[in-house]
Amino acid sequence: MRAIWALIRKELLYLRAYPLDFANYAISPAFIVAPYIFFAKLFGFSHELLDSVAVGLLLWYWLSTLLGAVALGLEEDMEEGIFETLVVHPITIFHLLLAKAVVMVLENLYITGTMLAWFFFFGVPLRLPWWQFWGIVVLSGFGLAGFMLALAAVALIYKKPFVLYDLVQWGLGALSGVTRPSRDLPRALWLLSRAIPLSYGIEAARATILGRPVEGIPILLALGLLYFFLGKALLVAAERRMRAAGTTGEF
Amino acid sequence: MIELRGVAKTYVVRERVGSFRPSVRREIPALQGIDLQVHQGEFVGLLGPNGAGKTTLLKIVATLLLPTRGEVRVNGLDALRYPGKVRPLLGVVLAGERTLYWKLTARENLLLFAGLYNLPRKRARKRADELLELVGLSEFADVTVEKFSTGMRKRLAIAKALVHQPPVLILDEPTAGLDPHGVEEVWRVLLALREEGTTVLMATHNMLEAERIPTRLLIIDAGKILADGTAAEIVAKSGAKSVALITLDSQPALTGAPSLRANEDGTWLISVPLEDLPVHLSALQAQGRRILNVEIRESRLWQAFLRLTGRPFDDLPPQKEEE
Repeated sequence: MRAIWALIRKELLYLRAYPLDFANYAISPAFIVAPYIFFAKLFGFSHELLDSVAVGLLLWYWLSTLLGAVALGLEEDMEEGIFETLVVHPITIFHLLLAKAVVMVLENLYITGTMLAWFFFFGVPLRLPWWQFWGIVVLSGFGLAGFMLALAAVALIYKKPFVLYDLVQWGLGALSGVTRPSRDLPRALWLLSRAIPLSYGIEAARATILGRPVEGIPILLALGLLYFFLGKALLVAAERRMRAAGTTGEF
Repeated sequence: MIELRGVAKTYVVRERVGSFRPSVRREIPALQGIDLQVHQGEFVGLLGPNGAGKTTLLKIVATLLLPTRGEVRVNGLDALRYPGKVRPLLGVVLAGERTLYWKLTARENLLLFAGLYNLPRKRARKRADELLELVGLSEFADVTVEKFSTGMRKRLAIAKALVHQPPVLILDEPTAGLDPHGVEEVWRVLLALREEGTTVLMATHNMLEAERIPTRLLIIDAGKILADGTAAEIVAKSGAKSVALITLDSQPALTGAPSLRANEDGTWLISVPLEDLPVHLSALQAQGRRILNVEIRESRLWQAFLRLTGRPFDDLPPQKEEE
């Protein structure tokens, strides 16, 4: 536990070194939010639908930045050359990822705050049962943990998996129904969406807005658990392959 | 303390044979059946040229690399099966400067790495102060590492490796890339560790460092250990001999096959084994040659190294040594 706290502390201290990032986090959500709100308003969608889009967007943005920070975080350490030094310590790569995830959650809280401010600015004041919503965010985050581990494993071997990251990020967004319910997707894509934990998270978040009963959480957890173990197995295999190939210190 | 049995490592690389043709698989043997025992309190130096296999060997002991075959034990623990249990026993300084977080201060770096070894915060703070004192960086404890010189970073990297008081320290070329002042500063720390009886396995290709610092030296080349002993023992075993360099005013008639070289200024230089010097001096005087200078060159590790590694060896040593 002390080791994980030390890593979290290090990540927080690193934030201190790049203060402009905070300005970026405050401004960039506006560019993501604006087009969706613009088109939604253009076609005269109802408030419920606007809220629904906003929630999907918020949840997806939140989780995709978390996915990126964790999955590609190792790549930063490798590029800086510090990765090799870290892995000779009695910690696992999983510890490194966990610390990055915790710090990214804190960063995301800040980003969410600014994003909500932008929603408000664009005339979409979200009427959310917040505690329920955060519970869904946490569960959806867990649902994505397996994807994070799998992407981190790919980063260990192929070093810069940006293409794959983009595919996963946008693929998850499109299939999980960020802007419109996944049930409206063609059947084949809808079937795919059923295999993505985030789909259940977004549906649950929308149900909370509309005051409907929340469903699908057990499936979200079961799928999340399945992907978690698959991702962890892939990460262990990637670490072993890296040690065998002698690429721990190369980039 | 450290035990290697039959450790071999072969890297598989993909070699490009043309811009758009498929790459070709190639195997590069880095270590070829290394057997080694490092005992408690020994300061063992691994001396070898670039590509000899020093770093590969250190990385295998440090659990960063898996050997192709062989066994590695640290304090009796199987390092290949239980890397997580072996890591707390090791302090590791890898080659290169990026072994620290540059945006953190020296103290923050030490506290971070102490945390990775589960040291309680209070103890970690005390240990950080002790180590900063040991490596002469107390004055710069709260300065970010990006502002440090290369030598300061190397010393801090050593301090970082010692933060949890490991029984074994692994150092990969700790003075590489340093100016003479920086080398002296790192040597001061290494000599202090030697005095304290820390078990150290250190790679180097600095001859003077290899002569001065380790208590035991291994010469390694092409993935094999060629010699094992103290620097003096290795020199003696290698057959490298002390030589006398005699500068003459004109070309002598040679006997006993000493080496001969014409200098640009018209003088002549001959190299003779030191024990034969009186005989050759008498012979040269008898020939009426004027002896301008006699310089004694003690047999040194670099000669032994060159003999052992089988690299081209000139009987006449260079006028100015690298160190």
